[in-house]
This record gives sequence, structure tokens and C-alpha cells, in this order.
Amino acid sequence: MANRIWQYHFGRGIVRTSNDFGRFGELPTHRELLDWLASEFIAGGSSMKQLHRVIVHSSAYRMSSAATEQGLARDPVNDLFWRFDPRRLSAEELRDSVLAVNGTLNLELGGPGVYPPMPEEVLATSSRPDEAWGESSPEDAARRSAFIHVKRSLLHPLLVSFDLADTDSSCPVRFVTTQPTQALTLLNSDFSQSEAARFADRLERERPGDRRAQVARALELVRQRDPSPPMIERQLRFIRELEEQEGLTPRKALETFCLVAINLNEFIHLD
Amino acid sequence: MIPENLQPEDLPPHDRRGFCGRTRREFLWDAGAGFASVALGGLLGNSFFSEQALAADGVTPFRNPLAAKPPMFAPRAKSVIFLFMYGGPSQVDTFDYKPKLYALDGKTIDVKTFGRGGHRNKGRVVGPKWKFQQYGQCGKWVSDLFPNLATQVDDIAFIHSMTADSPLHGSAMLMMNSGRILSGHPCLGSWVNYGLGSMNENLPGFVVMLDPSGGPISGAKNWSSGYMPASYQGVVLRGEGPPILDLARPEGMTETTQRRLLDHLRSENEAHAGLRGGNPDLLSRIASYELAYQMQVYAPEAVDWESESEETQSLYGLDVDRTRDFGRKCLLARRLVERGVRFIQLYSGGNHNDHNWDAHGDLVLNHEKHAGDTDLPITGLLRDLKRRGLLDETLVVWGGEFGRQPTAEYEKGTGRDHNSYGFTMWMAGGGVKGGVSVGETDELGAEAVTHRLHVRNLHATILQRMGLDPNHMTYFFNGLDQKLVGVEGAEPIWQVMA
Repeated sequence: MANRIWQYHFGRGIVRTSNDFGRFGELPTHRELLDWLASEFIAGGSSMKQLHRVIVHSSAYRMSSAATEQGLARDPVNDLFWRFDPRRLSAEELRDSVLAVNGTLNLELGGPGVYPPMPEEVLATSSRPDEAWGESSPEDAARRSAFIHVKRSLLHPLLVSFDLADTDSSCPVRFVTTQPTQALTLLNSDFSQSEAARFADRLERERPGDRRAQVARALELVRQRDPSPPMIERQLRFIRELEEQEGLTPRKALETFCLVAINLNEFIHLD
Repeated sequence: MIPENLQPEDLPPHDRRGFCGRTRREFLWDAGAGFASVALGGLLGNSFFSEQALAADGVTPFRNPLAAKPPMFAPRAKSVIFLFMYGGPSQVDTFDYKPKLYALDGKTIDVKTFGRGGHRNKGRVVGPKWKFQQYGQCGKWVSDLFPNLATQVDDIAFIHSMTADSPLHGSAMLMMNSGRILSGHPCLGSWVNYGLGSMNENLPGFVVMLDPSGGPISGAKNWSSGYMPASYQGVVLRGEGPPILDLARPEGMTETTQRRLLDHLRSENEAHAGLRGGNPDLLSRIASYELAYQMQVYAPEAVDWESESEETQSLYGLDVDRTRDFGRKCLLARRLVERGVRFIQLYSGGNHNDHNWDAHGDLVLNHEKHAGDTDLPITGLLRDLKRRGLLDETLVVWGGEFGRQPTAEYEKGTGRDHNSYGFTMWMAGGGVKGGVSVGETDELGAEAVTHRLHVRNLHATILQRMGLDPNHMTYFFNGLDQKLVGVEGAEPIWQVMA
């Protein structure tokens, strides 16, 4: 358990093969640390929250992801945790993050699974297209991805595209692939379009009438830090070009900028 | 799973321990020295794209998991078109001629059967409902269900002694597609792409086209990549509208707007990556947007069947209502083959009951419909492939997940229950002999008796013709070198090979 919780924070377990501590598995990179975490976990009455706290308070967790030449030369695979391993968000994290930045994420816990809209093209792959998927209210459909109903023969394409675990067997470590279809999904899907529009709604609501403040707010939300003035300028220029050269309405230009914002590597990758 | 970006020489000395005298990592690397290095690629997860470098011109080369890979030996076929007759066509009414069965019509006889109705020892014979005639130089007997296809028998190898493990649709479908009756295993198309990659990175390497009535039972499980990465799963292609999900630009977004968006995104992402020492994951994501853009241009062209001549369209039956849908799929399959797609699967039949070949009620009604909808298109496909010189390198496979019993399922009517004890499939092109028939069922057509073959043998044959050794192409998962043909392995059907 200690190894898995560590894995979810760091992207890899202290034992990298978290389903296999045996002969076919990898050796722990920090055996004493793992023993200590396990003992702490037991001593804390098996409280996962307690263990999360211990881990995220550690200096290892708070390490920058910046690499040094010396570090890369001596420990390229970061066995020693000399830096934080940058990683792409998992499928669920990505969807939840989009909903979080546009302000629609519903954090309600528990209850039966929910049914975010399923594209018609995907429903058509079911042997009973009309009865294949349920319908949830917009509020329910915006709940965390963990609460999405899992139907093994009809998985949500957004999640599948970003390497959702296979639903048939235990998955100790997810694949992290980079594929053009992921770009197509994040650029063109109904999900991206409608969530980008909701993002624009939020900006107009929170910073009415002030384009610069809207852009700054958007960047602050997707990057979790204050944007630099030149970065804001670049976005404003982009929006202006969309309006002046592409003939987009101010609203449509803002939505298009929001679409860019949720496609930024800085948003999709954690470091 | 294996961590990122690892070379054996990267291993610290403390990691050296006994696994056949080597570390597990070394073991995998050694095992992967030749072809199977491909296998390792699949295991590396994170580092899938880490080997990329930024080229001098600043354009990031994109190392697609579907990039072409060398076969294990000289292939006889470059692509597979699998014509999946979902529901299970009846062998004795199509290609497995059983003259004695006609006279037994209506008689109750002793015969062991196993279908959805369970195990039975007796049954009322339903005589074949169509006449058979001999065709071609090989004199193959074909029923009147396929008047067009019958003219192609000299190019076809029939396999009459197929057997499968399950007589139920769900599990039998999984078996025909992935070699197992349980889900979670990669499909044949995934294995082919994992082994060979695609010859065209602008298109998916494993394409599935479904029936208008819906997908087969268990839907996406039938084109899943199981424990392999999602790059190897089948992509559902639609004959009308945007061919691939999310391929089309959103409504109201012009090409120039999108180009501007992508340029802006790219410059922001490059600025971000620049501060991060050229992290390869970030660079490959930047590159993936450009490839996505190319796909948007390329894929619609690939499926533009309307650009084909009128003569070609009518060859596939596009000018007749009932054959238009399957004809279009067959035509698209040829266009995809021409563009280097490795594995194309076409479904005849979808949904449930009489929407597919599952003739439990009225055999004549059911099979007339499905054979009638596909006979001309399949014939057109074979003819067109042949005249374009593509048949030699394209392996066409026809069949369902099982066959049907010679006896009736119910007290009344002509419906036949499922039969996995013996059924017929055929192959054509791609290094397969024409005008041959392999294996036999008993005189009722109930069970394979000579040269019994399993779905695994069929899979082995397809892999072999594609230049992959079915018994040596492996993927390490769950502590085991997994194979499509299972740990048991399977011989290809050498008798059908040219």
C-alpha cells in the first residue's frame, strides 16, 4: 500500500513493479524508505490520508523537476529521486482538470455511476446502440472521472484515448502513450469544444469586460501560477488575430483561446 | 512494468542479480535483441517516444508506435482484409456441400450438438435450403446463396474443418478476434500492427467497419488491444461523415483558423519545452499535433469512395440498394490497403438476432438477406484486388465466429443453433493457394473429422503469411511471453499456402 500511494504521487513506486515484489519484479530503489513508510502506515492505523500527508510534506515530493546535466549523466532514470519526474496527466486527471479550470467540476462523492455524454459515433459501435448508455444531468455529468460508469464494452473515448487502464486485468502501471489521436481528441471533440466554451463563460463571469484580465485569469488557472506580462501579450495578440484576420467574434475568439489553454503542454504535463 | 528509458549499460551494479544469471532488464533486452525489441517497445510505456531527438531544422521527428517495422521473414501478404460474418453462417448451406443431408430433411437422427440450447444427442435435420453447383476449374461446390462469389473459387482456399472453443457469440467472437474466450487479450489486428507497424502513419493501422445495425456483441472488446498500449487497438471507421471520431474540425472552425491555433499552440509549447531541457515527451506531444493535422487532411481522402469510377462503384454493387453499404465498405477496404493499412475488418451483421447471420428462426430469410447483401461486394473486392495486382499481397479472410448445426434448434422451423464443432472459413490472395479445400466435416456437416483445425491455426496462418512467426512473436505481460496462439502454440495451415 505504501508503495502504491508513493507511486500515485511520484509516477513510479519505490518498487517499480508494484504488482510484483517477487522474483520477476524489480528491486526497490529505496528499501529502507519503503519499510519506514509501511511501518508509519501501520502505526497511523492504516490511514491513507496520514500517509499522503507524510509523502507530500517530504522534500523529495517538493523537489523541482528541473534536470541538471550532472544528474542526467549519473542517474538518467532517476533511481535516486534527485528530481521530480515530470509526467503527463492520466486520463481521469486530464478530464477532471479541464472541468476544474472551467469551474464546472462537481466534487460530490459516492452514489451510482454517472454518464457523461457519449459521442453518437461511439454509441453506434454497441450491439444495442439505443440502450447502450445512460443519461445524466449536466451537474452529474461533470463529476470526477472516477464516478463515470464503466461499461467494459463501451468506454468513454476521451479516457481511452489517454491510456485508461484496460478494464479486464489488474493494471499496476498505466501506459503513457503520445499519439496524434490524442491531439485530435483534445482539439476537436465535443468535450473540448463545450468545455472550452464553459471556460470562456467563467472568464467572462469573473473578469467581465476586461480581455487582459480574462487571459491572465485563464493562464493562472491552467498553469497554477501568475503569467508573465509577455505571455499575456502573446495571447492577446493571438485573440486579436483571430478577430481581425479570421473574422471571429470576440466571444468565439475567447473560446478558441480557451481551447488552446487546455491543450497547452504545461496543462497536460505535470512537473 | 519496466521503467523509462533504460539501456542495459545504464544499470547500476547493485541491480545485477540472478535471473538466468542476468537481471530481468538484461534478460528482456537480450530476448529482444532481434525482432522482439519491438516487444520491449511496448513494455517501455513512458519511454515509448523518448528516443526522439530534435532535428537540426527544429522539426521534431515523430516516432509513431505504428512506424513500419521489418517482418521476421519475407512476407507473402502486406495487408489483411477480414470479412467477419458475425452471427455464424451455416456451413452446409454455403460452401460445405453435404448431398446426403437433403434426404434427411425432417428426420430425427442421433447427432451430438452443442449450441445455445446446450448439449443434445438427437435432432431434427434441416436439409440444406439451397442447391449446390460446381464452379471453376477446381469444381468447387457452392450453394446458390453466392452466385457471384462462386465464380472466384479458383482463387479461394476453403477450410472446412474449423473448430472453436465456444458455441456462444460473446466468447466465440473474442476467440475469433483475440484467440481467447475471455476478454483482455489483444486482437489479431493489434498483433499484426504490433509486429509490423503501419506502412502509413497518417492512417490507423487497424481499422474496423461495422454494420449499420450496430456493433457485434461486446462492441469494442472485439477490436481491443487488451494488455498492449491503445496504439494497437482497432479504430472504427465510418463510411459516411467524418471517417474517424474527432477527425473533423469543429463546426465553424476554418482550416486557416485551425492552422493559426496550431501555430500559436506550437510556439507556446516550444517556449515551455525550451525551459525544460528538451524533455522528449513534451517534444513528441508537440509533434503529435502536426501529425494530427496531417491526418485531418489525409484520412478524408483515403475514404473518398466517390472519386472512384462508376464502373468500379458498380463492380462493388454500389448502384444497388441492398449491396451499397457492404459494397462501400469493401471498396474502402481496397483503398485502405492501397494506402498501407495493415489490418481491416469488415462486419457483415451487427446488433442481435436476424440483424446478423444468427439464423435461429427462419434460416432462408436470414441467410438470403446476409448473403444477398454481401455476395456481390465481396466478389467485386476480389476482382478489383486482382486486376490491380493487389490480391497477391492482400490476404482476404471470410468467416464467422462459428458455424451452424445441421439440425433444427426448435421443434418447428428451419432455424439452426450455433456450432463450434465444425465450420467453414475461406481465405484468398496473399500467398494462399486458390481452388483448394482443406479438411472435412462428417457427412452431416456437424463436426470436423479430417484435419481438424482450431481458430489458433487460422491465426497462425494469417501471421505467417504476414511475415510473422506465430510461435515466436511474443509480448511480455503478467510474467509470461504472451502469444496470439497461446502458450500451446499452433501450426499454420500449410496446405493452403501457395
